[in-house]
Amino acid sequence: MARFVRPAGFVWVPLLFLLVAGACRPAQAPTPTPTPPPTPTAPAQPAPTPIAPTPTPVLTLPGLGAPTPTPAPQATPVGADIVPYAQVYSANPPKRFTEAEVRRGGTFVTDFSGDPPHFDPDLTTSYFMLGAVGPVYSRLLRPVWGAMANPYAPEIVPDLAERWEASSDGLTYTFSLRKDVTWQETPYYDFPEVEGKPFTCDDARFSLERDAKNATAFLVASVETITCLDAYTLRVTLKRRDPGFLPNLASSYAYIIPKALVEKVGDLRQVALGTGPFLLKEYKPKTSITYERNPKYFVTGVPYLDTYRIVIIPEESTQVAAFRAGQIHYTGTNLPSVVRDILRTHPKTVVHRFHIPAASFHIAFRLDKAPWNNADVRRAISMAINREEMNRLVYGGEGQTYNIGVPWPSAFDTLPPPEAFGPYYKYNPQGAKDLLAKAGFGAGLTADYVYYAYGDDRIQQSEMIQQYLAQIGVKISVQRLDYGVWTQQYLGQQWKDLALGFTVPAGGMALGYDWTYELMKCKASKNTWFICDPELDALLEKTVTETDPLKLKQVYRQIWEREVNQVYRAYIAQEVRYSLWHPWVRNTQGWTGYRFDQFTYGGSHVATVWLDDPAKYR
Amino acid sequence: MTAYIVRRLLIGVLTAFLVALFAFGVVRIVPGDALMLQIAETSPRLTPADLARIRAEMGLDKPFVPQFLSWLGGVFRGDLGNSLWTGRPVLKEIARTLPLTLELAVLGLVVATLISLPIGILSAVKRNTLLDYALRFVAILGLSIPEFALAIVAILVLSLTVHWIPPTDYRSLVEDPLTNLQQMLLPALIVGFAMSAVSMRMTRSAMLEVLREDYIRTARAKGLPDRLVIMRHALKNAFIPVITIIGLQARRFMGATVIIETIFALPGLGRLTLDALLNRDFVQLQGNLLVIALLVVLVNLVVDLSYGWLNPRIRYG
Amino acid sequence: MRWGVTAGADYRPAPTLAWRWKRLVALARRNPAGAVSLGMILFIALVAILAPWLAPHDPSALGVGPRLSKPSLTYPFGTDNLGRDLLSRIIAGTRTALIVSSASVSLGVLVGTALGLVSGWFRGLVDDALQRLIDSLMAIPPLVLAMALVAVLGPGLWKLLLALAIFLLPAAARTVRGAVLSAREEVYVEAARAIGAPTLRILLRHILPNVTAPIIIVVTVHIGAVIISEAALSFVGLGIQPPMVSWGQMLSLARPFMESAPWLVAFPTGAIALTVLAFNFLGDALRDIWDPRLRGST
Repeated sequence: MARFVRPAGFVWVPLLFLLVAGACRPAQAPTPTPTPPPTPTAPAQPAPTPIAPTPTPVLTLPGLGAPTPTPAPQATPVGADIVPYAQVYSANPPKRFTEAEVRRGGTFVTDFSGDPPHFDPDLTTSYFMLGAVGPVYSRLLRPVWGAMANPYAPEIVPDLAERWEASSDGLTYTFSLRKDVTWQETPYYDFPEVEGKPFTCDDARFSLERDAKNATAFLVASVETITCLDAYTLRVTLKRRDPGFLPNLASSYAYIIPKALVEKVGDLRQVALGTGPFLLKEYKPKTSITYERNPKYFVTGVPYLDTYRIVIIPEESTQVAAFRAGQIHYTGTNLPSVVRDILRTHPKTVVHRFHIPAASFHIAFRLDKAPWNNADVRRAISMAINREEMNRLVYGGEGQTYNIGVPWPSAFDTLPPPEAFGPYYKYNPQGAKDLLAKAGFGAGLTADYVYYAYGDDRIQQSEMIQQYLAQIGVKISVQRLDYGVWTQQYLGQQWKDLALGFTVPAGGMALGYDWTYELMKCKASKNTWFICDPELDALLEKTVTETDPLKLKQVYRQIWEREVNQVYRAYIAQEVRYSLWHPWVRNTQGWTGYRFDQFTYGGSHVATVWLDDPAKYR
Repeated sequence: MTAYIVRRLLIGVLTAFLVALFAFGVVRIVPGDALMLQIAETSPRLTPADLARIRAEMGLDKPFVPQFLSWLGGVFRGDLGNSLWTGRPVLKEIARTLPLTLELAVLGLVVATLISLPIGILSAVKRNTLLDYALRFVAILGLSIPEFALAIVAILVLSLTVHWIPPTDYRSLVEDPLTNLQQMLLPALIVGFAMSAVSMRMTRSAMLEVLREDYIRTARAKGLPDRLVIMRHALKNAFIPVITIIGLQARRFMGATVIIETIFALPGLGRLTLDALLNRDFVQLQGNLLVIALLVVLVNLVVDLSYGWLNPRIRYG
Repeated sequence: MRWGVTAGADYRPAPTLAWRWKRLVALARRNPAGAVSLGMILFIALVAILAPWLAPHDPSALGVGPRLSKPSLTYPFGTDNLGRDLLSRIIAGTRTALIVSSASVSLGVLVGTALGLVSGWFRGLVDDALQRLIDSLMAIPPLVLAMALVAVLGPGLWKLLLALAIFLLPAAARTVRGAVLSAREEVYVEAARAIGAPTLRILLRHILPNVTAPIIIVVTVHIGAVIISEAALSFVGLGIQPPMVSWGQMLSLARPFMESAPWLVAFPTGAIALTVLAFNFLGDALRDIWDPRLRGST
């Protein structure tokens, strides 16, 4: 089910035909023809699509054929190779399967491009750290992953907490914890005071209290008290209503760690021992991280795998080669041309194409300083950016043209069309010049622009932004910063004029609240941009108090409109993420969106992955 | 002889001290450091007061000289501090990564010698012929193509043609010699190819020089076949410059490893250095620079001493 | 041409233009590889100088052609993923390569020569101190040092030039010092000292001309090294930054497309390889010509 970019019906009907025709098409001989230039209408025009998951593949990736449709449910499936919120391209139609079909055992290998700095889940929010400790730990709650998970409205289910209830004022939460959970017993450590001992409320309380003192403090920012009513009942009271509280506890930042271990070794930088599906067997720095099945995992029947291994490969072209050579089972990219290269030699590769519900990358302004405090100047900058061309040139027309930092599902029922972004997101250099003149900068403007090269695409986008702005008389001097200086300047709010900013959601999920309240409220903890707008603040307060989902949606709609009208951040075209899998790797849907939907950062969804017999897929 | 060695050792120590000072200084002229990086990742909104407190805790607020002296004191105790990024002891990280890089060095050197020695000798003997140019072209080509281009193209071609690339999950020579050699062969070929140009050039000019020596002329005049003359007399003397380049190439090689190890996902000293550099982990970086410099100094010392062994006419003054 | 290591031995009465030409032709005949590489370098220099007029398109202009189009008559080297004309970018890159290498090499030679002259002339404590400094500089791999400097100072053209100049500095200083040490014992230098000529004058008038030849050899070899090193720096993101174009940067950004658009890798690699080869062959040829020990060998 894909709901992002949808050509009109007259397009997808022939596509379905193509799909049928293409399904049994033999592997094409390598034909290195260049991508034909997309026609001007190619940047996909989103059209209304219902949010409820209906199995309608709607988009083609040129050269890939149409995505594979989701099969109809069969009797008692335990899972399916279906990713309803992404497009799936596969020569092997995704299947549902029953427990009996699952092939157990084997070693599942994925790649990482860097090392975790350490293994302590509270001391940093580093992506690599979260990925590395994910298989080892559990959380109190977790979002649903798997075939029916909706990344835009995550449904929260029990993990270590069996059930929970909230008081009617939303200020007290009581969690009943599982009584059958023990800390992992591993041959790789010798901590008799922890291993095999039962997990109790003390550990949960300790974990949340430790969060408050460390990098993960944002998880419990609204918490007032944490108490254990008994060994298996945890009570948390809040200072204020917080719609982000439960999603935060369910995010992969909120791992529950063993109190006795921390008390013994000080911090968890060099050890990982939790209640999760896998035991950390070996970490070889700059080489690999190996995990072994936890036979006493509290969810019965899983993990299916014997071994899970992350191989650390810094160079992307080596990752692709290692995938081809079968050394790794998964790799990711944001370049459709790389996907096509791989499909040419490995036509049976399963591809998940995943949109990001809220955009990250944008031109950030110093809103506290002239001329950037003038909305017309910001609008002019935004109108000078040709987002369609940027998408076409940088992402071959297959990225996302329009998107802003407010997750659209919180404000719209369907993917908003370009018109929803208002006049200032439309490419209009003349209009931009007029607005600049109106603001008193008809003669032009000079500015500094800093960025960090998160990928090659950022380098090229920066180069394009420089050219676009030159067209309306805004001369920017582009400076690439290295990561240390960048984080200091950007997150430390010290950049001079413009920056290629990115949005870091406050919590772990793609929820409206996570992307707005702590980010856009005047002087809020993650408001990097100096946004300070009383009208916006009033709306943001409403998102906390409003309980009627329909009215809440209207509030978010107003926030959306305020953002695109004021252009507090000028969002640019950005990538779509692709996950690639060897076809015999089954039940991988929990991974998709893995880079952007942070609730899948952790990786305990590895528990349900299984490896089929490769011979069946040749 | 002993006096010479002692003097060379003293100079080596002095050099290493200067390198340490230099490494320590370079990484401290920066506005941002690993501390900043980690803080930015954890809690981006620390106040200047918080920063000052953390700096004080880490001793980073002290003036340059006391900081340097306390680090140097640690060096003599065999303690290079702990990495700012991973918190692990710097020396341990180096000890873990060094064997790989040394192995790569030895293999690369073997490859370089295998390429450069025959080419150098042939092109000297056949000086200014078409063969000379062709051979030199090949050798210098190794110097002229960026190693990373060569490496990524090699990996791509392998993955497309034989569906195999060197295993990315590194195994040491002790753990699993067979896998290890599979992993090291291609990087060694590329590094060796790149290093062979300089070796070839040295061999060639050394051979040219030797071929003009009186005893060679005499041998030739005696009617000895050319091949025998070259094998018996010329080659032995030509070895001296070949040894010299090992010293010269040591530092160039260390530069090459940074990129080659990154592309081939090898956990060596070069990649450790690059990561430290990009993460602004200056404690790790200055430790690496010191160890690399000491190695280069040591290699050159050994090379100098081996001259005497190869050619007794050389006296140490 | 007074290139000999000992000026006295190679001295000839005021060389005429015709004599110089004849000498050049003779040299070229004796060393065709050197002649070819010199011609190649002149061609590269010409391309660099005439770059704005030679390039068919603005090297940074987006969407000049369709993206990733194969080499064709309209786009002889094809286009890159932003639809920019690759030929124009290679030409612009030629200019960058020569500017960067000549600027950094000049800087390195200038400082290195000064250090070498001082070191070789004064000897004693100054020499010892400078030698230890150069020793320590030589003990750190130049590429690692350049990476560390650029990483520390931040990307930027001047910082890059500074970092690349370090490549050459120790070699230049060593070479000059050696030449000074031997030249200083020459009779004409002794004579100049005896009549009380100022040190600076002796250094510049009598010693410097003697070190020109070895310096030029060092320079030719290092220009290649600088171009290669810029590419290596680009690989880790520390090289020349857009909108300035460099071969190394093009190569580095072409990595994801090397399979679908191999020309994006082939042309920058070719440009780098040809240029570095030409400078290396020229260096070898000059060494053959100037090194008296090799003169006259078969």
